[in-house]
Amino acid sequence: MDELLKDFLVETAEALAALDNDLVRLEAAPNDKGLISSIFRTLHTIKGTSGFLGLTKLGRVAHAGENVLGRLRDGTMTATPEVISTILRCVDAIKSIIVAIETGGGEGPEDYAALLEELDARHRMPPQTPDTAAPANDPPAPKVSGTSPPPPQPVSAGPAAPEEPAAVQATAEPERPAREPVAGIQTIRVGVNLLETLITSVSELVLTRNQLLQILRSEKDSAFATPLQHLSLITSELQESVMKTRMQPIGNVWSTLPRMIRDLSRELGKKIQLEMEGSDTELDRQVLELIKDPLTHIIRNGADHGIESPADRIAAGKPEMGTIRLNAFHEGGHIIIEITDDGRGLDADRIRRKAIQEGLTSEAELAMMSDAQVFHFILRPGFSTAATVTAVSGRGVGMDVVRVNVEKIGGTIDVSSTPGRGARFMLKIPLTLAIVSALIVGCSGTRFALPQISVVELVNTSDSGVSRIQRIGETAVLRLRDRLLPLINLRHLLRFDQTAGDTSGQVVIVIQAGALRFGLIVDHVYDTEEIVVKPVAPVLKGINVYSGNTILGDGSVCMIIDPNGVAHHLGQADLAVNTADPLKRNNELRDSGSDRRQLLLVRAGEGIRKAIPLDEIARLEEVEVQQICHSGGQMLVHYRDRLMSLVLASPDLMLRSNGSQPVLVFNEQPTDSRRGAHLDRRQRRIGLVVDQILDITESNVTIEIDYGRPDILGSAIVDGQPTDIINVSYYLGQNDEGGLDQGMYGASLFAGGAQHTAASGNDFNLVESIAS
Amino acid sequence: MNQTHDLAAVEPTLELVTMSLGEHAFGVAVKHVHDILGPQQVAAVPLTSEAVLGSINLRGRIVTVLDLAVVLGLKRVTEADRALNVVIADDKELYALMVDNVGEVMTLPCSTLEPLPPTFPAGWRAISNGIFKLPDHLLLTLEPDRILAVIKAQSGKQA
Repeated sequence: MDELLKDFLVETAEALAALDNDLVRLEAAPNDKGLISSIFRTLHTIKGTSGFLGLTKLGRVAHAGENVLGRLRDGTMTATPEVISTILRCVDAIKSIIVAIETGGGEGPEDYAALLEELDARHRMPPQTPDTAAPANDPPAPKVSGTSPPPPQPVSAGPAAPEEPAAVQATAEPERPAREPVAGIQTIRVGVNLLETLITSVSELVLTRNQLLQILRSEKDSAFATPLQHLSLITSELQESVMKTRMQPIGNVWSTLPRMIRDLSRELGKKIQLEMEGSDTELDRQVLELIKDPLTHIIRNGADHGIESPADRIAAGKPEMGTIRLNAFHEGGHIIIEITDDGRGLDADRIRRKAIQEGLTSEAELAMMSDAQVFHFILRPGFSTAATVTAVSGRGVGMDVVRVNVEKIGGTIDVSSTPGRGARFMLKIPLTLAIVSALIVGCSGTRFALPQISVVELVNTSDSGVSRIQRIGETAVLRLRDRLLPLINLRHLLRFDQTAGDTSGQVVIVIQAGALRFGLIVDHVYDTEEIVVKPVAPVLKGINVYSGNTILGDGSVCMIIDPNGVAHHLGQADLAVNTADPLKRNNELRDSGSDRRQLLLVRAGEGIRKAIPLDEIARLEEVEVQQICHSGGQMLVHYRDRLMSLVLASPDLMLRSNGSQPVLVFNEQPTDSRRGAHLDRRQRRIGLVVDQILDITESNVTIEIDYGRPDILGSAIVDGQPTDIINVSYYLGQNDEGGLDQGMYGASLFAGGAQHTAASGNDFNLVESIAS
Repeated sequence: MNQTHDLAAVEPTLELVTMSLGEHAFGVAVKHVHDILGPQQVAAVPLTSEAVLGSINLRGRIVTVLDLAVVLGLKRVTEADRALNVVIADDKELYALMVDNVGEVMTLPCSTLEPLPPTFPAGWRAISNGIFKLPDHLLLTLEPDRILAVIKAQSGKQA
């Protein structure tokens, strides 16, 4: 049977059951407008749908009934028992047609001519005169229940009332076929709570089963082996069936979308078609509820901002009709939902600019980001819509809500886009919330579970070789395919004893938490396991590192680590809160005078040691002094296929005559004001030459002495020692205010510096600072 | 919450599960007690307040183990792997109080319950309703929900 028809039959059967009761209640309270409207709507729906499905007979009957209800609703007819009876007969007729369709197809042989005539006669009846309506001047109390005897009726109606129900039964019963209706008993409604209880019980059963199996493994030739295996099998089957009770095809959520797209395209004057694939992909009902809104939002955005107007599309050489494609499929225990449009795509540069404007990130950080990371900004709260992507409106309306909802269920969003060709949103969503796949890791002898969805890869570290954990002071970093991966040690994080020193077998788990990627150092990686997530006890709620706890196969309790919570413990984890552009932050440093920052401590030239905020440094490098070339008064070095300018961190710093020199690499974003538009507009790198890298520390920075020098923010006490804080923005040349002054000052400073270097045997003269 | 008065009006007895920490005796009303467990393997939960020892698996339910000794500022005589646990239920959540020993259930007349003298530390007064004077020793009543409130407040401070 057609899916649509089946749904219609189930729904109608339910609606009719309610209709009987409603009509009985209406008889007791004929003036209840709300009730009349509700009955009218039900009949109207049946009429409309049957017309749609080509059930003409059903449509005719429902239509005739609806007409009568219409009179009741308009108040031109009173719901006397006769009227109610007629309507009930109409309802019975609908029931028998439904039964006929369910059992054998077709609407049955009966033509209901008499009923239709009666309904039509009532419909055509002249409005009731006050005379006939008058006896009902004592309206029954509206709250009389359906089972109580009918309230006082007009005299004329009196005898009819008791007779009618009998008549209804008499006509209805012979019509009913002997065969049992099918759709009515195919589904039953079960409370969601009961389902949840079932699922919880089954989860416990699975855990117990796992424990039993583990015991069995250690015992050979146990008499329990066979029955246990049987139990195991049944448990698995039970689990599967119970989980299925929660599964619903994603098409249920998609069903409203074609209509939305149709309305939107009319509203926006665009031509949009919606293609859907994989609508029978099933996922957890609970998950389905939660992704409904995000999905609608993304599609709405795609139609609104992604798809261009027909004229624009033709001008761009695209078909006039825009396409939004939905595709859902299973992939490795997750559901992937792709929403693709063939519109104009996202404009990475505009998002970059906007991100800077909004103070969401610094230029240095932005420069290191891939387009995919940049697109993630549209998922940020407060990434305002207007002029983000287009002049008219932005493609970021409420996208943070989308992200929050998706992350709430442990899902991820990926955005990709090709300018002019369209954008693609990829939602990766767990099949179910109750059971997740997790990586079991060990740290100081305790086990923890990490949700598999956040794990990107595992890196085995060794003391030598490529994947070596490198330390600058106490801070560890990992060079992973030419990128510096910030590392966080689970031992530090959980304040375990540090003294158990063996770090050789440690494993770095590369974790993606939102747009942030970092490495978590653990002692061991044991296994993956399907775990049942249980919420933590209220006394543990305050700890954001855990997202829940679970019982492992061996019966022990294990905390589930929340990658997003861990990310908060990274120095710069919460990009949205902590970072602004360096200039702003430097000013903050200067103004507020205090801030807890990670600092790289260096020695450069004479005087006290110097410190640079670590998060502004892209890389630490060693540069061979012999490779430094001099051009136009600048020091240049061939670095990663590009030229990098070098500046000295202190005017009195002297380059070594041979060997290598430590260099801090900063990324600089091209700005429009820079001279020479023909130059390569990609980001530039600037290397700050220092004498020695000392340490990394985290400290409150309170500028105590301000020398008024542009290259030094001032001096502060860092870890109990006086330290000069280097003004990075001065070297990056993005200090707008007083740039000229500083430039001149810088030039003189560097001229000074040049003398020193000249003295060390290098013949160059640095007259132009990068800042100018 | 003055149970002395409430109960005096009805039937003035209180059923208590008695337990001990060192030389001190404590009682928790029977209605709060869910289970008494022998020594358990407690899985540590780092970053929690000191009073939270970890969690255990009680027939598929996760129970948070609290160290009553830490809450009261006392010393436990037995090691954690040999101590007993009194499982209490609070709003469907289960907690276990780790103690040295668990004694019998005593039915005591409420009329003999005396409020804690004000000289007791505030921490003790916060979680106890009063003291029963037994022939050979004193028995301090404990209110599980108030113990949890104290620990939650501590965790809040840490977080």
